[in-house]
Amino acid sequence: MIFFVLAACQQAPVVPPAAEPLDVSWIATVVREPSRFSSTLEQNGGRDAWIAFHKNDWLNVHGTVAGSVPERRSRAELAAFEGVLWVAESEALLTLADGWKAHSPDTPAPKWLLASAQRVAELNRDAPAADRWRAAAAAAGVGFDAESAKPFAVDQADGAAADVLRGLSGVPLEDELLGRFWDPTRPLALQRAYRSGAADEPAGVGLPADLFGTLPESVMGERPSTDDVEACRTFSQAMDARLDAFDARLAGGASADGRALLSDLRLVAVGRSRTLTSLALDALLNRRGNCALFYAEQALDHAASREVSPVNSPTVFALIAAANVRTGHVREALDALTALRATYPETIGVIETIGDLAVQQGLDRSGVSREN
Amino acid sequence: MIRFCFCLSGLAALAMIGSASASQLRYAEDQAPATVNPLFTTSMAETRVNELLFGALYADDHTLASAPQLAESGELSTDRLHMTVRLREDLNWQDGSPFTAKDVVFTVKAMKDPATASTEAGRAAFISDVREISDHSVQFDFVRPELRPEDRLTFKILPAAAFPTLPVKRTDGFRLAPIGTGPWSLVKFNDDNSVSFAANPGFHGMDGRDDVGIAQITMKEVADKNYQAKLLLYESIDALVRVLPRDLAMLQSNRKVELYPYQTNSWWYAGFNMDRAPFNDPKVRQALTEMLDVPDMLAPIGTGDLITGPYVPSSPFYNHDTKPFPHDPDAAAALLTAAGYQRGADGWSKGGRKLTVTVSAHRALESGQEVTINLQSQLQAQGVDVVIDFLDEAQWRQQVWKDRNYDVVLSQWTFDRNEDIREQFYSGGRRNLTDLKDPEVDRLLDAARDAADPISRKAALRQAHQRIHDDMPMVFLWTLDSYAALSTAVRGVTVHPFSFFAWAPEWRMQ
Repeated sequence: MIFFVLAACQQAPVVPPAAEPLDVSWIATVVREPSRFSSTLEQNGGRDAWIAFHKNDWLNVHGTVAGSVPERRSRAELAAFEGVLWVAESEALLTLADGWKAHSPDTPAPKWLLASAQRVAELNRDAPAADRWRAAAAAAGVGFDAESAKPFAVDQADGAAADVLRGLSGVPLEDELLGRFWDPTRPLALQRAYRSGAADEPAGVGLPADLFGTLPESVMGERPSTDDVEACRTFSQAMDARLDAFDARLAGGASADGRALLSDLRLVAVGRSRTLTSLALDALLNRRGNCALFYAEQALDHAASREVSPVNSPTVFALIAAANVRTGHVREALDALTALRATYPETIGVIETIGDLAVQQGLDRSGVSREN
Repeated sequence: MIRFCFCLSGLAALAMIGSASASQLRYAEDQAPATVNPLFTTSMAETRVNELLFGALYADDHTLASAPQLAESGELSTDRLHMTVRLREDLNWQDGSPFTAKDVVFTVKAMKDPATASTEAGRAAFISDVREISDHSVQFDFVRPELRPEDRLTFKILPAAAFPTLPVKRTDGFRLAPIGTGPWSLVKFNDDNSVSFAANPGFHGMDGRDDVGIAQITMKEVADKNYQAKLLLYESIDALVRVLPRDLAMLQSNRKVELYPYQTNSWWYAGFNMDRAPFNDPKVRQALTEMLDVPDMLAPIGTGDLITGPYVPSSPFYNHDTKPFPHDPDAAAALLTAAGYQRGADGWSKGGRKLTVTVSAHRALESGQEVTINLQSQLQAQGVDVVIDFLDEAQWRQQVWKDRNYDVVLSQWTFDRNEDIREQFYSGGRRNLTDLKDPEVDRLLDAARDAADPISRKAALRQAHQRIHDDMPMVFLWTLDSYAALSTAVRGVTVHPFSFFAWAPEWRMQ
């Protein structure tokens, strides 16, 4: 889609006076200056890379011009995505290990689970269950020496490229001592690999740095600092009202090319989704799981909720999963990850861990079924 | 002309529905509940009404952990075979009479009484006996040791005094004047098939939350699913419990509506009556399966995932190694030939009898008519005669559930997050409409039920998935995107993933 739209971007820019932060956002720039948009793409990695970046197809951007703005931004996005998967994985695994004795008192926990929990608790000391697990493991004399940590990807990732790590992610780990299991540290290893390959400086400045990204911070106003979903909902609705007015204003004053870009590339929906994703990530990392879930679900294009798209980034799905795990809605976390299973093999291990936790929590329950 | 008539009828319908009071929530169902008695619940619409009216000893808190609702506390014996539950003493039934241990004992005995034929009997199967210890204390005995029986004591409790004696009958007057301990009470069944509920002033909720934010609830029957979304947009209703996938984009773009993911453990199937020839022949079942182009059947009704067995793809129990039967008309023809059928000018026949399949579907099954007609078209194009039988609620209950009189049923199962398929596939299960009897499936389901850890249960049920797929009791079709939609005028909304109204007492109208 972007290719066809760009081909028509030759008219002179239309520049009305800026009235508020949204009017100087990347969305306004693209719509009011289509030719600048077009040249920006050409001069910063090329159209193919940006087409993939717009679609949130980061793995394919990653394979384009190394060091280009979209390539570096994709690495940053992939690192953030893996970081969210790691939150989901680590918290689910520690909760699974922590709850094992209560749910399965007559069955010893598998060695792989004990070893994994020990290593994960060391790597994610902020996880809500990490302290509980460490205390319980110490009290029970459960633990593994450093040798047992060797199989984990995160301990072997020195210098390994993300592509190599990802290639290994679709199969369980085989270990002589621990057996066959899904290595819980793969998302963390991938996150580190993407980060280590990123340049220290920001990925571009100006339009290339902002394009298809979040809205200006000042658009959002003061965000709620508590985990009150109603406050987050009010905040989100106010943001939507401003965006709707901006969308209408922008379309009304745009050239034909500008309007085509606005509509065909779904620029406002993309900016809205990126912003809500950022809010969800911030909430997740600051122990506000309910708001994280709310923002992430708001970010999702529900009409195409089973696929990655310009609006639905992989991080949105990962955030929905992580926030559901955080809020105790473990089975619901699995729905979100299904969309990623085929493209991101490292999610298979995360799905297995969360699935084990969901089954554990239902071990003592009677199921209910209904027609329709 | 047709469009003009539609608009007129639409406006008339809007006028009939009328406006809402400030603290009234109006929600739409495809069909009004046939029965308001938790002992006989079969549909999701009934489940939602039960949630408004009734309480349970334990219920999900917001983290989906079991928390006392009608119970005050529970004490499990050291051998885990007995549990004493102390009941709350501050609770009354909606008619003002006190809630006591007699009610709990009566409910369990009613569920377990074979003469009651409760559809919920399976939920009490783990209880071997129950008795009253005092007015507000009951003791449960269990069939086998239970680790967390509060996770199972989640069925709705009925008032003993409302029933003259056991067994309870589906036709008892209670279904028209139900009394519960829940946040709302039933006021009236209205002439237009709507049902009115009013907040229960004596309600005592979990964690000391005793107030009910919405004074009135009205359940509207809106049989035309295509029309429900429009009613929400026109603010003639405030909530849709299930949004058609094709309406999602329209509702999402409206700022007066908010979408909520709502239970996705639902899947469609076309089930064979394996107790009846020729569907007791696996070759015939496989042939009919391979004649169907399932993606082509799904396309007109929305986005969803195809399935190969009795779970949705996101389930921990879904076996991703199970391969779907291909759409292969040639292979299907070979299978029918091997089963003794011959293809003539007017289709397949055996011994002079045409291969005819009657497909039964509930009239209220959303998109059911489109799917059934597509299925008919596909099979008839390949020489199989297909008769369609759309059944109303009474016919469905009699013909499908009671008499088991059908060739193929097209329907949908919805599960809570435990995804327990035992009733559907265990030999003799109450919901085993296909009459599957496979000792290996039974063994795997027993192993899953008895599993002491999640890894073992997951492994057993993934094997069961493969085995059931191979048995072909049904053509496993798809799972659809599942959302509820509520007006943004409803605040404080959190939707329970299965029960919908479980946390509704906290909702408010703006």
